[in-house]
Amino acid sequence: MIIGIPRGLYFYDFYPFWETFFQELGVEVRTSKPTDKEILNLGVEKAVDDACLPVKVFFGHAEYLKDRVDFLFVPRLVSEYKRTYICPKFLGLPEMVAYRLKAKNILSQDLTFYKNWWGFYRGIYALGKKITPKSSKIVKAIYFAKKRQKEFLQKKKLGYQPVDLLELKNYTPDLKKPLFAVIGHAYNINDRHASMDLIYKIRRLGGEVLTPDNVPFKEALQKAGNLPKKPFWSFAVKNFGGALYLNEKYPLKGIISVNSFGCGPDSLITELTERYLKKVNSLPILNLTVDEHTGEAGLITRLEAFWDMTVERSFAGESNVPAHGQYGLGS
Amino acid sequence: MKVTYPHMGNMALGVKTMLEELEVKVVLPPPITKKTLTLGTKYGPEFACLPFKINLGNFIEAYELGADTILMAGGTGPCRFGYYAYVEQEILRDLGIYYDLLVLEPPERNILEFITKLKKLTGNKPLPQVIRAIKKGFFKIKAADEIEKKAAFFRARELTKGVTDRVWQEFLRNLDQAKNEKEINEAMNMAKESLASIPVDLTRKVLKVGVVGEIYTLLEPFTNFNIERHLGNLGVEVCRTIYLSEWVNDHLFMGLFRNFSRHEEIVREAAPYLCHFVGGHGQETVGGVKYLKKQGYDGVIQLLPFTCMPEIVAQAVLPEVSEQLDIPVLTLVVDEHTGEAGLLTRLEAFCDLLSFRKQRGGNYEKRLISGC
Repeated sequence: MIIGIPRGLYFYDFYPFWETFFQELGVEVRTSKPTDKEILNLGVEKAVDDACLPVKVFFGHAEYLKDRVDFLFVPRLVSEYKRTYICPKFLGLPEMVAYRLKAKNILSQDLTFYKNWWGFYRGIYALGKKITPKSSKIVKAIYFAKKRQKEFLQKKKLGYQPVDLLELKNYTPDLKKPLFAVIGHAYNINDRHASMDLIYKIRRLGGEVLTPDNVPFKEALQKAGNLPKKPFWSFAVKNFGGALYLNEKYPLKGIISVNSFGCGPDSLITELTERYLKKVNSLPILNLTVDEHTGEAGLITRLEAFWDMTVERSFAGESNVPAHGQYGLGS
Repeated sequence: MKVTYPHMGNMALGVKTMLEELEVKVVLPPPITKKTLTLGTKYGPEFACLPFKINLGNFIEAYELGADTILMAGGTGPCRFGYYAYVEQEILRDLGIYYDLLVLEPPERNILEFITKLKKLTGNKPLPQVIRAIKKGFFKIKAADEIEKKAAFFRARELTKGVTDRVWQEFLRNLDQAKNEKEINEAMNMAKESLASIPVDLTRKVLKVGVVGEIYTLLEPFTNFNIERHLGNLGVEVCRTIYLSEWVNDHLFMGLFRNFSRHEEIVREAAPYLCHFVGGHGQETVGGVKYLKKQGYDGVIQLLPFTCMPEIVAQAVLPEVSEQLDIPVLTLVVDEHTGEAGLLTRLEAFCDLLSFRKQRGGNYEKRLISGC
């Protein structure tokens, strides 16, 4: 039996877990190729027009994989942490994929952490039951999967990005370079096609990147306490709390926020993050919105300008506050 | 304390009554106009949904009239609505508009929790008075919904266009002035009588169209360009799957009145097309189509604001639902750029299709309309 895991949405968060879990159960795991034009076109063709870029990318991967595997693994991830949700689109993902792609062989299971961790693992256990009747084998698989996931998390805390660990395995981050915080969803930042290789573009310029993935959730949650109400999206906690945490802990040169067009939670949370950071300090913020039409040249221009403003200026001994107006004719 | 709250269809009526009964001063935002929307679009986040922008515009306009406290409902997600109030307050503060925020989060356990939160508003008023106030507000909303449902019937069949609308407007004025339950009932009876005296053509073959979708766009005529009236004037009987009184009963009263709302029934219909709630009214939208089909409706219109997450999920599965159940579904997405003429053209085309289908009986070829 071959199970296919599409390389989209929660792939960059949970892939090591699922890979180990299924392999321990004696199932072959296959993933789609990294996102490229073909995958994106497939996704744009199949998904609803109004869906956001990551959902379209996921559809592309699912469509690409669906005839190459026996089962397509599309779990219904309701919630990742206690009392949080992810996004309505995650809640409806199995049905969306099933009915839009007319895919019959979908392996799905409700996984929810909303009440407690027990619900989550009960879901995984039920999932294992669909593959093998042996309970001891499932428990063992969960144990090893959890162990592998923990190693993955620890590497992330050291400054590795998920894409470094999953796709390019020989990169060591150097946190002494000029640091940038890239704030956004893991599935946008780590997707080299969707984000137009943002991480590597910054690295090629000579900088290093930190993302909310490098922040432990507990710390992010604590920082998110600055908001008047605890956000009910775990991504909002990660992005808002992560931005604040990285800003306090590291000597950042600037913050780059990556949003996909039409992202619901981001439309409110980015607004709050920006406003909050503006009040706390005057760190430069670059806002990038990506969708399937975004041109690469525009991104490079903006990134280079941002680099010049933040890093080159500080090499020249200037601050990032523009000189405009200070020595103007009027004053 | 001068309390204001956003407009949403007939909600203003009920909440105003409730607050005035509690001796709280109310400053209603002016009716929603293009200006409201422009203000909200200008200061709100670019990708926020339409209701957010209109709310924001409401608050800016109400501030000019002297309001100083916002009363809002909250939520626990995953729809954006639960976070509206806090972002709006932040934006307003940066504009130099200082509001106090009073957010009524939905009770997690029982109705007492909701009442305790109301305490902030009520001060030390005795509990019976609080309950009386809530009851009176609720009755007004309920009365408005009841007449609205009846009006849909007469609008599709009236001989002189616009008579039903005049009765409806008059009823709203009467309802607004009603001081107690007796007067609410009187206003209702009067409206029923005037409706019954409208000359109608009962032999006319009317189309029955259901409207499903996101609650704000459904309830607020400004955002949906008064779709019910337009459809009514085309000779179509319109029914919604969500009425405000049902929503209040389900979400604020935790289903206090049994057998009152069709909510549970509609949600049950959503399987197997959408087997899990997706926040907002996504599941109700999918279930609503099946529900309406069973009730013998000819077609369904889905209304959603641009980028509404739960409705996009519903939209993704609706073509399949439509095909399997053999009922046409039209998806209409509205935002600040939507033009009324474009919307009307599509409505007319949709109604044409429905009437052709109906004329040909069972012998039509399968056709599917959707926004995707």
